[in-house]
Amino acid sequence: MSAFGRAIRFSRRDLVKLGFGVAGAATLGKIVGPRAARAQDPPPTPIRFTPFTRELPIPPTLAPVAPFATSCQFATATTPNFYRVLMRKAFTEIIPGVQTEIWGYEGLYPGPTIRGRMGQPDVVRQVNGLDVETSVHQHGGHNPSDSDGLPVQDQLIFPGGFKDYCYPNAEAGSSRGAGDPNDNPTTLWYHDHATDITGPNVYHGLAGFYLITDALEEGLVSSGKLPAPAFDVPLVLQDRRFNADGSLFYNPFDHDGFLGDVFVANGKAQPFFRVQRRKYRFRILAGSNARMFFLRLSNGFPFLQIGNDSWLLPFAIQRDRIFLGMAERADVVIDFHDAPDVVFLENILRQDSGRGPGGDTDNPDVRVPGTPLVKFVVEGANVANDATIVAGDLLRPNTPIGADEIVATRLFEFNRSNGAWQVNGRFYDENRADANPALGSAERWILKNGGGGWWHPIHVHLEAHQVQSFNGIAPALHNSFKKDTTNLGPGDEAEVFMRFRDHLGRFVMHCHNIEHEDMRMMIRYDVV
Amino acid sequence: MDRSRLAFIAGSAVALACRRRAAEVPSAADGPYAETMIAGSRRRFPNPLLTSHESRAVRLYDDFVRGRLVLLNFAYTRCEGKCPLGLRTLLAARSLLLPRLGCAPGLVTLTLDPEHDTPGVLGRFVAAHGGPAGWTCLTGARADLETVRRFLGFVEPDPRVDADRSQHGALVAIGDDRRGRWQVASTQMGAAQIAQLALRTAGVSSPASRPATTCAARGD
Repeated sequence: MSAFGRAIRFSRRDLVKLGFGVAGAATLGKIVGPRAARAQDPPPTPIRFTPFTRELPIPPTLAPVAPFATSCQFATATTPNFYRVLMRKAFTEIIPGVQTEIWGYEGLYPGPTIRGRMGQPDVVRQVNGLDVETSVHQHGGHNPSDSDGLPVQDQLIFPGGFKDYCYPNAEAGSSRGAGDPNDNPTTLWYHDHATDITGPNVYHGLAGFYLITDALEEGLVSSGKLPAPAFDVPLVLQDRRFNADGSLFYNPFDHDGFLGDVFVANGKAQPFFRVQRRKYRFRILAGSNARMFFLRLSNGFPFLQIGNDSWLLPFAIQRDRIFLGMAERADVVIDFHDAPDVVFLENILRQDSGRGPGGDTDNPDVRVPGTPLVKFVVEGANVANDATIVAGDLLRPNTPIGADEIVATRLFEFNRSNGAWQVNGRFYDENRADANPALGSAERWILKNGGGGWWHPIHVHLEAHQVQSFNGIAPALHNSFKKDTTNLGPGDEAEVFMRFRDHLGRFVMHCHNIEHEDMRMMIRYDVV
Repeated sequence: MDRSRLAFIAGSAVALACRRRAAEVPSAADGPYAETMIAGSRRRFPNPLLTSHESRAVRLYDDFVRGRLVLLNFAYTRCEGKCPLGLRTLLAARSLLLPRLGCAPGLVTLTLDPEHDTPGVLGRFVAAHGGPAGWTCLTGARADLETVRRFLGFVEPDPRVDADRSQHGALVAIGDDRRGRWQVASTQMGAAQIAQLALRTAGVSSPASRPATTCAARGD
């Protein structure tokens, strides 16, 4: 056992004594009185550990491999980068001193970071060395249908098989003349999207960052406005639940949305991270199946948000707290100048079920003090000549979609029906398209939460959506530009505009509470 | 061995088997639960003593789940709308699976109305649906049936909605105990989607990958 961490394992008898067994949990539910009807409560993780004894790992960058024969074809003559990823099981330490089997891209949890550049295509060969089928979605990507990682039978990678994903990294709109560099993405991620089992697949580890850059962003870095690459940290926040033997516990019968009880950052339970007294960029991803995060810094310092979901914002926005639904990202700069020696990144959201937190999107229920997720150990004197970014600094312009471009309006209502999850009263059927936007057109979509107290972060594949209004009023400033996932609290309604460019064929939109998605809260839409 | 001796032994075996079924209550090593692997975790699957529409005493896990692909749903004979529709969908899905698997997986329907749905009532219910082989309706103590329902997550968070049994008649749990893989879906998806989901649950991606003992536990 590690000198730094201590894992206490309980026998089944100990758990029963403590009331931690399944039966014990059910009994406890009766003792505390009237409560909502629920499936069996999941057993709490019976392993105790000392937090902040392990350093935050930074996922390694995936190295290109020699070109291989592929069916990928691109419009550009630029030679693609070729990557090969083996999805396989491996053991890793998530809780200090405990080995846990994960399913990882290259056997890593989270997967290796893939770094792309606009103008240069990537070919990523995903090889399935697992015993379940997979499909790999580049979340935030603008890619051909066959490379979107769709949950349809003919796109699944079955055990022993492989698939080449062809990522053009071309400016959106470039198939019909000049593309729009303002829609170039930066913070994407790739994760499993297999039909009906995305939940367990992602939960067991199939997720990683996919970071794409371009001349504009490189200029922001080289000019000293944004932190240099050494101070640019991808940070995925998740929750997990463990069995006594260290294996991951997942309950396929939890249809509300599966919650863990151990907070994990970049695959480590509550790690620490040494930082200098300077500015750092953190690309924060809410990567849980069903848990949301309401983030703050323990010393009261603000975040400077520079990006939302996959895209840089038009200008930097100062924020004291950041609320993220599943799959949402916040690209932030944290300034550790004059910070105390220890600062915690905390989650103050009160969420006790997969249904979502209490409260609403403006004022979610909080629990203070929150749960510390990452301990920043701040070292050294203030660093001079640091990145210059301050609130209001210009970043990437936004090209608004005008109301005069809209050719169609569609309403999508996300609701529950007899224990399962629907869109507009229907379940996802991969053989049925529920919308057919025309290539080159723009549409207005109304995304409506059907209520019942459930939360639904809605992710639209292929294109950014621009939020025009949220519950009838202007959205929060940071949500006013491009999004790929919009979090709908109970009864919320978002009006979004989208352009459909470059790629014909099948795509999907779905709830990113993955258990809801797996129970078919999804539509297929075809660009025609 | 002469023919009469062989006939005597075979007859004795059949008689013994029949007598055992009629007189003995199936025993379960782990009481009302059976340990199995689900999604990589060791879980205690409900294994209550129930009664089939043929008035057989059975154990849910031991007799219908262990080592095979199975479809579990809830319904009740007085249910109109969702239950009959769901059952027709599931029976149709089994028919679609037959050519792919070489067998139709068991369909086990647990009643949500055990006070009314006696074995006799369930027997007539199955007969009214043509009595397809491999479909078993089960009744028993309400508490045992509720345990199964909650284990499978066929619940509504609002207690008033949860108490409306018609809410639970549209779901199906599809599991392959050998693989530890379970999924729950709505029967409203239709037979083709249910069948495809069942094939993936059983690890069947092509006819060539057809497992030999999908629908029955080894030794059945």
